[in-house]
Amino acid sequence: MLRYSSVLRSNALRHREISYNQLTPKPDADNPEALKPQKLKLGVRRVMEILMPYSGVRVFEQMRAVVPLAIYLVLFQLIILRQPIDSILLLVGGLTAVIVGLALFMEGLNVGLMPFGTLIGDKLPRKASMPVMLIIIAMLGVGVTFAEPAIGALQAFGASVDVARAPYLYEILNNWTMPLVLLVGAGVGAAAVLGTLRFVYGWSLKPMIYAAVLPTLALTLVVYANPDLRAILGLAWDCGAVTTGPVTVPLVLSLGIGIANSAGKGDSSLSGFGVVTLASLFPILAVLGLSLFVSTQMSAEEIVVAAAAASANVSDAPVGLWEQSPLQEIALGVRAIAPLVLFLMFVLFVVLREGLANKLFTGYGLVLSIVGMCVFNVGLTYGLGAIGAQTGTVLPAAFMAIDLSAVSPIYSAMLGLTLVILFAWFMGFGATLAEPALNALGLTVQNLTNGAFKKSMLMYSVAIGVACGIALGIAKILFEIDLATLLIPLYLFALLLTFFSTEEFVNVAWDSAGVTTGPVTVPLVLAMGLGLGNAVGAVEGFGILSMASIGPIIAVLSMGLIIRFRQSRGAPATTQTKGG
Amino acid sequence: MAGRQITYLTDAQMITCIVQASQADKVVKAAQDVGAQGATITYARGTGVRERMGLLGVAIDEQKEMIRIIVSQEQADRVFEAMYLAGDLDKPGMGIMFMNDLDRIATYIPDEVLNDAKQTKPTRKASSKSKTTKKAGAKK
Amino acid sequence: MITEIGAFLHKGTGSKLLAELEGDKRILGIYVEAGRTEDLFAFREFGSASENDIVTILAEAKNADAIFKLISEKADLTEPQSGLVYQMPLHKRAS
Repeated sequence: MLRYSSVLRSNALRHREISYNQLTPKPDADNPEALKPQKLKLGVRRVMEILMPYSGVRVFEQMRAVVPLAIYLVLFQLIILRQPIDSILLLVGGLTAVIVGLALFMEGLNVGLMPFGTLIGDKLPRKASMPVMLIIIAMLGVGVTFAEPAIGALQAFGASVDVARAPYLYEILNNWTMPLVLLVGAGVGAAAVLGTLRFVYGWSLKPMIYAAVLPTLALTLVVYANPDLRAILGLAWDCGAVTTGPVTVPLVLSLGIGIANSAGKGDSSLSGFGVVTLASLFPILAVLGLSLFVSTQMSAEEIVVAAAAASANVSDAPVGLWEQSPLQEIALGVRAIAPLVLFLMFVLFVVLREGLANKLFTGYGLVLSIVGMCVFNVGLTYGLGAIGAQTGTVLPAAFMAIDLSAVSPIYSAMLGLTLVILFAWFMGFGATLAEPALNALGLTVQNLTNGAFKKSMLMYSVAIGVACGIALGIAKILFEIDLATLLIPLYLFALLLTFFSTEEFVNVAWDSAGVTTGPVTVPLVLAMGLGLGNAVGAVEGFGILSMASIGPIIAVLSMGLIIRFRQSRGAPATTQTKGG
Repeated sequence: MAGRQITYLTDAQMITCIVQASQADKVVKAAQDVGAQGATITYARGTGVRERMGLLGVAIDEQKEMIRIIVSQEQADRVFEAMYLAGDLDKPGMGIMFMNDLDRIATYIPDEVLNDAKQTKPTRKASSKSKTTKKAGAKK
Repeated sequence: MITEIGAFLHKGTGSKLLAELEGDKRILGIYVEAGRTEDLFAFREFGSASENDIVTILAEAKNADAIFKLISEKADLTEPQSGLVYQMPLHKRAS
C-alpha cells in the first residue's frame, strides 16, 4: 500500500533502502579478527566535519560569556569615565587566552576531572569502610583549601588594613595567617564529611542549612556587638565565599554524585548537592570563632602597639596582583589541579585498587584541564584582570576628585554614585556568566535532571543574584553600611524562602552561593573594592564577596517559587494539550 | 473502579533517536514542527563509533540523549525524516534512530477531541485507518 | 511472544510502581529510568521542562492486556497531562 505520507516524503527527500545485513561484519574462518570492531579510517574532510563543531561550539560558548563583559568594561571606561585604554593589544591577547583557556578547562572538566571524581565517589563506599571513606573525604576537604588560589589573594589584601581602625582584623591577617588557613581548611573538611553522611543516609538538606546558618548568624551578632571585632565580619564571610573555586566545586560535586549514586538513599535527583554550601558556611564559623579567641588573648591596644613596632619591617609592599610574570600564573594553575589529581589517583589506584575505564580519554581530559587552567590564568592577568583593575582604579572619578583623572569628578555626586552602583551590577552579571565553577554546576544540574533544569536558566538567575549582591556590596562600602545589618536580614529571608521551597531548588540554590565567587569575579571585585575603599577611606573593602554569595541563594529560590506559583495558576489553562 | 474507562489509541508508532548530548532539543523541535506531540528525553551513555576513532573520539560526546516520540502511523515517516535532517544523522558519529510499531497507547484525551474521533473497531488490531482517531489531540 | 509495556509517568511514580509490582509473577522484568519532557505534563517544575520516570515492563503477550490495564489505572490517566502508557510487541528474546 502506498501511504499519502510516502508520496509527500518522496518529494521532500531522496532516499534508498539498504539491508543492514550487508553492512555488519561476517564470520570469516581465515580471519578470527573479522568480527572485532575495525579502526575507522576517516578522510580529512570527515575529520574536519567532526572537529569543527566540536571545538567551535565550545569556544563560541565561552566567547558569548566573556566578550560582552570585556566590551562592557571597555565602553564604560571610554564613554562614562572618559579614560583611554592602556595597552590594547595585550588586552585582546589576554581576552583570547581567557576564552581559549575556559573552553579547554571546561572540556577537560567534562571529559577528565568530573568522570574521574564520579568514579572515585562511586567506588569509595563499595570498597572502603565508612571511617576510611570519611578520612579520605576530610583530607580532600583540607587539601582543596590549600590549593585554592583565592585564599592567597585574601592574605595579600590583609596588608592594606588600617591597624588603628580594625585592630583584630589586622592581627589575624598578619600574625594568625596559619591558624586562619588551617581553620578554614578544617571547616571545609568538616563540611565534606557532613555532606557525605547526608548523601549516604539521605538526610534532607533543609534542617542542615538551618543548623548551620542560625549559629553563624548568632556568632555574627556577638562579633558585631564588639566594635573592635566588627571589622572581622567582612573577612569571615568572604573566607566562606572564596573556599570553593573552579577546581574544588566540580570535584566535590562529582564525588558527591558518585557517592549518592552508589550508596545514597535520597529520593531527589539532586541529592548529591549540599557540600559546597556547607563548605562555605563552616569556614565562616571557624573564622568568627578564631576572632573571638584572639580577642580573649590580647586587647586592641596591645595589637596597635605591636603593629607599630613591626611596621618598619613590612614597609616594602607585597607584590602587586597584576605585576607577576606569566610563569607564576602557570605555576598557580598547576598548583590548583595537580596535587588534587595526584591525591585522587593515589586513592583510586592504591587505596581502592581500581583502574580507569578509558585511560586515553581521562588522561586527555586531565591534561586539558591543567593546560586550560594555565592559559586561563595567564589570560585573566593580562586580559580581564588588567582591564578590571584599570576601570576599578578610575571608577571613583565618577563622583569625586582623584589624581588619576584630569576631569574628575566627572558627574555630580548623586549621578556618579548611581553610575558606580549600576556599573557594579552589570559587571557582576557579566563576570558570573564567565565563571567556570558555575558552568560546571549548571552542567551537573542539567545532567542530573536529564536536562529538565536548563544550565542557562540556572546561570542567568545566579548571575542576577550575584549582580544585585555586588551592587549592594559596593553600596555598603560607599555609604559605610555595616555588613551585619545587611547580611543578617538577607540570610533570614533566604531561610524563609528555603522553608517554602522544594528540595531540588534548595539543593541547587545554596550550592550556587559557593560557586559564584571564583577566578573571574574575585579579582574584578577586589580591584574595584580596593579602588573605591581607598578613595572613600573605608575601613576595609571586605564584604562584597559575601554579598555576592547571598544574592544567588535568594535569586534561585525565588525563581523556583515563581515557577511553582505561575504553574499552579496557569495549569487549568493548558488542559487542551495531550502528551505524546 | 466503576465509571472509569480507558481509551486505547491504535496505529501508533514509537520513534527512538539517539544523539549526542545537548542535540536533543533541536531534534525535538524539528519533530514538533511537523506535527509530533512531544518527546521524552533521557540521558544515556553510548559507545561504538567513538572508540573506533582513536583520540579523535573525544570529539564525539560519550553522553547521549535518547529521544522517544510517539506518533501516529500517518505522521511517522514525516516526523522520522524531519528528525533525521535536524540531527544531522548523515554525518559521522552524530547518532542513530529507529521506529517500532506499537500495539496501542493509552493516555488522557480531552473529551472534545474524543467526541470528534470516530471509534475504530474495539479489537486491538484495528485495521481501519480513521484519520480522526490518529489525529486525536493532534491540535496543540 | 513477549510484549513490552512502557509508561512515561511523573517523577517518583516509577520507583513506587517498581515496589508495588515486585513479586508479580506475570512480569518478566521491570526497569525504571529518569528523563525529561517538555509537554507531557501540565506542571513543569523547572519552567520549560519537567523530570519524568520511564517504566519499561516485559511480559508474556497473554498477560499484556491485564498489565496494560493495571499500569493505566496506576498512572491515573483520567487526569489531564498525567502521562502515557504504550504497548509494543517484541519478536525474539534470549534469557
